[in-house]
Amino acid sequence: MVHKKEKVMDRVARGEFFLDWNPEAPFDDAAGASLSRVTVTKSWSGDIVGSSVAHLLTAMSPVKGSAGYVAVERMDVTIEGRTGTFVLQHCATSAVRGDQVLTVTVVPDTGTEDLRGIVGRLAVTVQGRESPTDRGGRHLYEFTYGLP
Amino acid sequence: MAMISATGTFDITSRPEPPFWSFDGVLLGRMEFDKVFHGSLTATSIVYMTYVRTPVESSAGYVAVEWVTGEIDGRSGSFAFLHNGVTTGGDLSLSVAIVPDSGTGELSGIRGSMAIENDAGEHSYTLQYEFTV
Repeated sequence: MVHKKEKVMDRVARGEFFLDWNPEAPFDDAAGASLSRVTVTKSWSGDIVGSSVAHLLTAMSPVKGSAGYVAVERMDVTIEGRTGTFVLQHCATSAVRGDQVLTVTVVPDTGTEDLRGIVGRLAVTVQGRESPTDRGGRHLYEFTYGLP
Repeated sequence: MAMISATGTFDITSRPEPPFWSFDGVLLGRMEFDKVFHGSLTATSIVYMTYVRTPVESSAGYVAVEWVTGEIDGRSGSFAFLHNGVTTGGDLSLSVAIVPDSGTGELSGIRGSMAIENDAGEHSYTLQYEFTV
């Protein structure tokens, strides 16, 4: 039996990121949802400083306001003086008659260098946006995390 | 109204690609799958995946979109799933949910989610679904 020390998410980093949206042509544009790959590059400011590249898979419904995306995002950042890389995984849906749901978590054991062993989850507040795949608005983040 | 349960099995053909990024043992890559569903769901699908591997074999993740075309309990159409899976200590936490308002044809308005069992490469599914009016 393996006893692992439970990692506690006892720190919070806050700030804003700016993004650059690079869509590829839809690869499946059947009568219903349109599926695409999109690469988003971000620059992070605040308690997290650095850059990231997010690889999105998007599903746009023909109904405006209903959509979803999933993504993996490789972070190359400094958080409160500690520098390294790690990977976030996103899943988001919005329904025109329903809620928007976004979960973003650190994939376990992806932390490197000073960020080895990082655990965490990211909350994003976007001001002025209709669906998770809209590009506009200010992106404010709150990253709740822990390090060994 | 209670969700309807649709069950059966599916077969997979995968087309892996080499990782497109790696650093210090962490890998990102893409993969595509063709699936054939049998049972309550008589359908085919294409899965577009991005995966994450780590230096720890029992830690990994993947996300995917899946486009399904066929029949569920005799109703024909198509719809999209989103997959979000994280493996921690060998245990897979997986969510496979229908994208809101992605259904077409007689599957217009479908919503729900799918549970997948993998028994040594034999895949079975339970789709819980309903229709919004």
